[in-house]
Amino acid sequence: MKRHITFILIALLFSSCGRRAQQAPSSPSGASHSAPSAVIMETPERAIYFWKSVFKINDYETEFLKGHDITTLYIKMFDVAPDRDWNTGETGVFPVATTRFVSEVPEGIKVVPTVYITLEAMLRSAGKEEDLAEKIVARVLAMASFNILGPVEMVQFDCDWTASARDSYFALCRRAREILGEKGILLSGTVRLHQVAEPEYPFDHRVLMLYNTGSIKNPDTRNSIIDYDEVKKYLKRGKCPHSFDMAYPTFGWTVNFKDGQFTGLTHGTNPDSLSYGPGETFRIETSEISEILKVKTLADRAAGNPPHSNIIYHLDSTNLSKYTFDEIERIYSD
Amino acid sequence: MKLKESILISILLLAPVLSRACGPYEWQAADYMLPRIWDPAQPGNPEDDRRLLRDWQDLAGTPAISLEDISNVVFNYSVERLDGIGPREHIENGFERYLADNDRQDIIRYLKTAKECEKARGCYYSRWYYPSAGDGLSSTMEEIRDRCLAEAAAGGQLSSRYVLQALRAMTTLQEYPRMDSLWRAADPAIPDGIIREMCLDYMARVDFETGKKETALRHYAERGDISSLRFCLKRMNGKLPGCWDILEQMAGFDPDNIELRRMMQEWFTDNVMHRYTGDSYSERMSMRIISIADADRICRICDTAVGVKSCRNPAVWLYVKALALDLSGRSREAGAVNDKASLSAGDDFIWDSIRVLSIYLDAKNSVYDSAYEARLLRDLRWLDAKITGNITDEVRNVIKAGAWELRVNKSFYYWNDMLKKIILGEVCPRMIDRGKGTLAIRLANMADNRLLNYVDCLETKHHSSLTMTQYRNSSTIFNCFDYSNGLFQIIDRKVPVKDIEKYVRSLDGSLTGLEKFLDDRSYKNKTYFLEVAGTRYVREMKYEEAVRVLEKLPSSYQYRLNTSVYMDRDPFQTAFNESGLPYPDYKLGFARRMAEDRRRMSGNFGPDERGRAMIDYGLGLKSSFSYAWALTAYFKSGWDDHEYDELLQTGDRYISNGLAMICDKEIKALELLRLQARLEIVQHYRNTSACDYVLRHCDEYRDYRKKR
Repeated sequence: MKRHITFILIALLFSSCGRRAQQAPSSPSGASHSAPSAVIMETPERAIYFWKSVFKINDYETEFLKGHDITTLYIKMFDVAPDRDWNTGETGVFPVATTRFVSEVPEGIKVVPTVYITLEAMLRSAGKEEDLAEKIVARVLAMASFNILGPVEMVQFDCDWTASARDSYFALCRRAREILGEKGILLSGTVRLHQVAEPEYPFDHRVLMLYNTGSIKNPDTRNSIIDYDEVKKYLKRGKCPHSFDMAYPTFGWTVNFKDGQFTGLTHGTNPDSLSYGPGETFRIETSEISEILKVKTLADRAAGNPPHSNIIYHLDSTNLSKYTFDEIERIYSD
Repeated sequence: MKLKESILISILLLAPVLSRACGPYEWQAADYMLPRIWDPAQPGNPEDDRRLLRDWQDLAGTPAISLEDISNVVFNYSVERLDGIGPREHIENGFERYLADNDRQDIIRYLKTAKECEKARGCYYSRWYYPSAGDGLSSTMEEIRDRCLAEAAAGGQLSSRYVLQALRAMTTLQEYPRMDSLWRAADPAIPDGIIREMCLDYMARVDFETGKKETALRHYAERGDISSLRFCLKRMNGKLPGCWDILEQMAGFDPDNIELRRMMQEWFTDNVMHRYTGDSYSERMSMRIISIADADRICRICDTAVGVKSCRNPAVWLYVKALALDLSGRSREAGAVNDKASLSAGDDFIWDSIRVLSIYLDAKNSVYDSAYEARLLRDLRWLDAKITGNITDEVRNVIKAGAWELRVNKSFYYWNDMLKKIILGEVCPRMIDRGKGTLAIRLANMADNRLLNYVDCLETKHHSSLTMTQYRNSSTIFNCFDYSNGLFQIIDRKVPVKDIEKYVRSLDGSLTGLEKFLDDRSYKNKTYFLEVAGTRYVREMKYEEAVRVLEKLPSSYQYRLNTSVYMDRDPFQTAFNESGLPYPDYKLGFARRMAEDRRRMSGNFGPDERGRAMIDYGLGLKSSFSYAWALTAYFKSGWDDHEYDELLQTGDRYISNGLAMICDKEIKALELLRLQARLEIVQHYRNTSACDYVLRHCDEYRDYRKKR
């Protein structure tokens, strides 16, 4: 009897969590102010990041979007980083690496403009978060308008915040969420594994980054892009306190070291194309489908399997062509 | 469980021997920032603004209106406030009163247009700006442009100004051919003066955009327009120009531009020295020598500036050249250039900097003979006057608050920084190398203590105000200065101990002018120096010498040492100090016993006596460099630096040789008990009092008793 009661209690607990996660507000802006919990899309979507400085997509990529029924494109619009003012020469926090739009966004694709905010920018912006939030939002929306990206329903902020910048970054997000909310736009935020235990996030919508899981600069790291064992440390079955959309990697690179010290990254993963001098070593890192799917199973279980969108990082024919159609489908599958 | 004492001793022996002592610090006095080119208190380049304001004064025809009042209206009034200008009582601002009394709506309208234009341009040029449909900025600019063109064409007193605003708007809209046409038409009518010059600044932009880049750069350089130069150079090279890229352009045209001094100061601060920001303890203010190529480029730029006939301040450029030469390892050349700088036209600020550099280079380049000492006395008198004459409340407050900056060699008061840099960083090491240890002590003493003694006021957690004497005499306050500063490092490590004693003796002797000058500004407590000398002798295992020196100290003095809390540790492990209080005459007692052990080891004693002395000596030797480190040092870090490994091994040899020498089993067992070799005692020395003691007091060895 006792066992039955326990089972019922557990079942109730899980079902109530699931319902809460699936609740979508009737008015996104209204919900964003009153409810701290995240908004999960009623219908999970297939999405992909675009993370290059020139928005130009080739035929393969266009076909990829179409073939996999991808409906959402997260496009990085610019980075926010410390830099020098061109006019005064003084150092401040500015938009850098602004994406130039050459191609048009394919029909039927919804764009989520994304802004990468560096940790250094946040550390420099303490006390000036509101002003920065207003500038970022204004610029993102101006870019979306100028480049005819369609009606913006959501903007995403991406920042690898640490404890020292957390309060500042959250203050920035709260202000941005407020401004966007007034326009009926949601704020999405990326969450890295080390940030997963955060009790509350100042976003309407969250994306859990299941890549860049290891320390890239550590020569002992097995694979800094995706490593099941690393992810496992953070995600325990059914114990993920939040609901997330999940982002998976489909890229690779070569990490270079000299005398055990990290020296940089090289695009490409072909060992034959690499030449190295004395003391130089390298680590080729790829996103193997088997590892991605292992992580996906783990992440889905940890999240309690509520419906969520899956996002691939990122739209690049060189990397994506290494996966079969079915493999990509398995990443996108519920 | 018995044998409490020996177990506790064992625990203490194993525990990390950490002390509360501080320092010496990672930053060295030599790291202090020497370049001093720009005076932050000096105003910027107000010339253009002043001329513009005078132009308004002329236009209003009322020289009685102050430039300050005009400046306030022209630069500070908002559009709303300008709208509010009208007849009313008590208008304080003279220019506003003029506008209201004379109903100069034309001027008010113009000022509003200029402000709107400025605001719109600010948005356009902001790095955050991204053009988008409906942002209104383009239409605003176009409307301003059209308004200005119409007003300019209408003529009148403000037409030149409207041409200027039209050019500004058109620059923003990138209408360069149209600007050219406008200027061709307006040029003949615009009189010489600041407005015309400002118009030409915008026309230089047309030159730049239409391929005449060099013409444009030259124009900006001549006008001292750093902002435009930076913009154009970035456009040309694809990256933001560095300090010397801009200086290269400007030095030949506008060498007296104060902004250039600020830029050079910033460059030296950023590139040659790390300015400690407080963000990280590990961030070190370290000298990075600049490359010969960089230094040569700086020298060329400086020569160009000095070569400008109208240059009013060549001393600045020669000073910078000397700095570059020195930082690239050419100190002698630097000295010659700096000498030239001292004879060149300049200002008081830079001459002071030149004098400091001269003292510094003299310290680096000179032979330390009597002539140098005479010069040094003269220079130190000057530097000392600067220290005492320029002291501010801010500096006093830093000292009062505990002088952390002073203790860690962090820049906080230029004159004192330079005293420490030159004396501790340059002069003292070379004096020591030349065998002038006592003079090095004197110099370091002044460099470290001058400012402290001068302010002579410290606040601690429990005391609102203490003199330095009260602070130093206290047995409860941790002395943060005297056991970590540059002087201490010299007497604790760098000069022979004899020099310390010689210095102490000389304090009462006849002194040279330099020595007297230094002593008058120093900390002259003989006991302090003798105590350090005595400790050095203990560390050098010259125990008889140590006894001779330490006997001169009052017994109470050891309680003023930061290390007195560690003086409860018995180096010979004879008994556990249950009181936890320091042993009286800790160092002296130790030195006496070690000297006595030596006598017993070498004298006509039997093997047992000699063996015991050897064990005692070996234990004392080891302890004084490990567990009882306060006998030989003032600081012990948690890191095992292996500095004394060899001595510890020597101590072990004395102990094992001593044990081997002892024939009497009873004596040997007692010595083994002291060495905590209890197992050996119960196994091999059963019928001894030591074994009896162990078996009665230690549960661990109960089994051995049963067997017995």
